[in-house]
Amino acid sequence: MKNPAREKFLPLLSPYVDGELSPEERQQVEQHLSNNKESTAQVADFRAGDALIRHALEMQADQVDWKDFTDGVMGKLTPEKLPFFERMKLTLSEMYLYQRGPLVAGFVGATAAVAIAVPVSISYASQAPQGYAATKMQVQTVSVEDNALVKPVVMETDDGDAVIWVVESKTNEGGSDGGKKKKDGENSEESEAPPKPGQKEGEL
Amino acid sequence: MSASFALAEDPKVPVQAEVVFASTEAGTVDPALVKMRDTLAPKVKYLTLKKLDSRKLVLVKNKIETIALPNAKTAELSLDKVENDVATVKVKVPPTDATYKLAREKVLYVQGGEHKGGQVWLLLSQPQ
Repeated sequence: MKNPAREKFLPLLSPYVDGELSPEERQQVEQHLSNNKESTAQVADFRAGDALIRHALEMQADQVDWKDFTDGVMGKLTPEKLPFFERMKLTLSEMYLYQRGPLVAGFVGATAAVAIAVPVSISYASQAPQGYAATKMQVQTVSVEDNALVKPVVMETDDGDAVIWVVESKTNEGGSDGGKKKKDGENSEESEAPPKPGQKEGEL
Repeated sequence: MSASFALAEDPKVPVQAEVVFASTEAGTVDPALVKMRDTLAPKVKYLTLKKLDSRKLVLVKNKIETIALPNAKTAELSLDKVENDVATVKVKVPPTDATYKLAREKVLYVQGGEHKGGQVWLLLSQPQ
């Protein structure tokens, strides 16, 4: 024999168990269950089935090794590592957003330090004693004593240094001008061939 | 113009003078003289370089500063002039007499004659 009330509430029993009904529907279903043992038994079956399924799932979950689960999930969620400048930009933007005060203060301090340090270092580096403005040693004149049997040899290096050698000479080339030799200082390397120790002129 | 103002205008040029013994005989090279060895190497390969004396001189016009060399010679330095912050210095190491312009962080090497089987060099540069 058909029960019209049961047929009406039958589709609502499963949603009732799952908690998917509105409060009004839920109240109507509970009123029906209080008068209908068959529907009450069916709701009990639904709940028992749910409990079995939940228990079975929990048993399955216990058998799974969850040790690396978090790392695995996060590894899939974490995007590829950003390029260095992107990371810096992101870091700075976050710092500017959340720590604007200290960031601005630090920037101002650093700027002030640079503004002070650069001129000081430049002035320190440019400090040279008086008379040293030239960039390379320039031998202007070289002479030897009248009766000396040597002659001077001047070499200017690529580094800007200068060397004055003395070469033995078989004759006195000094003469009345004292053997004076003038250097023009224009990229000249040597005014004479340099000597080897103990070597006389003409043996070079 | 007072005399004191004129004196204040007189340029004073410091010069570092170093006396070095050099020899081609095997020996040691002072670490500070490696640059000298390398500078002279194309012409003479000194295997021994030893600093015998080092002093800072302050040159002023009309005053000769002397440096005694170990081979009984005496080197004489004097300031000739300063133009555009470039000093011209006279250096006399018998039998040679030279004038040269100072340069920043550069060195003038002047051969000073024989000494104990080697040679004496006078190095003139900007004081550190």
